[in-house]
Amino acid sequence: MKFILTFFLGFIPAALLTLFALLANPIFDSSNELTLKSPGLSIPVAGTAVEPVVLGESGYHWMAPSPADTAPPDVHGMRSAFSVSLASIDGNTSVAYVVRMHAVSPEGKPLLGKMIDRSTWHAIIPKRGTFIIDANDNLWGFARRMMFTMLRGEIWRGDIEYVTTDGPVGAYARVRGITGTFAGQTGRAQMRKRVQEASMARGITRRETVIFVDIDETAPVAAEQANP
Amino acid sequence: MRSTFFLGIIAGVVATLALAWFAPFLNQERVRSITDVQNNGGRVERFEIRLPDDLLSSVPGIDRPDGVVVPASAEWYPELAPFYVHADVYRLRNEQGVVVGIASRVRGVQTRDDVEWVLDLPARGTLAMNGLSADIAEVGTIVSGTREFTELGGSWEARLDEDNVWRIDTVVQRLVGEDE
Repeated sequence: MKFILTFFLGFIPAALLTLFALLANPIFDSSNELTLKSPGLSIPVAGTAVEPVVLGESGYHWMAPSPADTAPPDVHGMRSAFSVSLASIDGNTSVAYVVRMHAVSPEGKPLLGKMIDRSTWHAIIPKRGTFIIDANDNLWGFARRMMFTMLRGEIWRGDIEYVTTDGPVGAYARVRGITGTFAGQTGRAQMRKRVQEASMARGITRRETVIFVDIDETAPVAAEQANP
Repeated sequence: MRSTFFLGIIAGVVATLALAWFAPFLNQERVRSITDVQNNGGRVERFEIRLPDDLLSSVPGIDRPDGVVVPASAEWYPELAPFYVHADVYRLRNEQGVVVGIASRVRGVQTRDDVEWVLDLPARGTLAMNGLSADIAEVGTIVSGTREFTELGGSWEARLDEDNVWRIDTVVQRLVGEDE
């Protein structure tokens, strides 16, 4: 009995300290390098709407939806979420319509610095064409910095910016053209995210994302716009 | 006694690291796929969108040829108008009505009749499809996919039935030459 007590006297503090060290260690905090600055297409996205969609009846609850008045679902299920944005591009001369559909990936290992959010972006650039972006974002840097405040039920405020793209092609997201000048083309992308306010109750309430896209374009589309 | 204490410390560190490495982060439920295999090759799968409940967001564009009434919860943000294409986001269901993902539909990017769908199924991957729309009937090809649908092509048809349900039939096939 004495040996068991002695064993656990060493085991429990060591386990807790190791857990704390993994959660708090700054080694996993580094942002990826942004290498796709220019030339290319950059799309600023200021997340305007997020609504949770319940996909199953068991699994994991991610943060509360944003905006706050979105009714949370009754069942405990994995949430897939989406956001829809319009963004000014090309020096405010054009607008891009961007839908982001995303869900937390089961492949993450938060204690080892990987909290992967898997996204598909559907981007429409009027008069040019459309493409999708297949992206994995590692959000652990944000979570590590904000979670202790949020777990206490408080609103986290600050200013953190990371290049979060972490695959699926090395450090880049994969871009595939669908129509218009992007049809048949492939490329790569990176996302830079900035968060300034978040809470467990309301999710991320102040944020912005910029997508840097590197994709070749063919000649401009000759077809006339149906809705000029 | 001292060695037992140190053994406990080592075991505590090792157990926590093992937990970090091996413990699953979350169990993402995957709903069983309902597919049929065609005689001449290809996998057929039907998805459904039940209007108006499954409409999550809408950019009406200039007109609404399908006549769908946009619910108040999905009202578009007026400061973002005008926008020339007609774009919607829906909940996506399988043939049995279980929500399995999200669908983005955009019409009128190049011409009045062009349409494209992006079906995102988080547990499986994404299908990107484009084609032509005649308001309540659409047809086209699968142009791209991710994860489970990578390197697959095929065709699709969609129709908005009288019961206000979009039924989207996809036929995915391995692209010619992929096995070589």
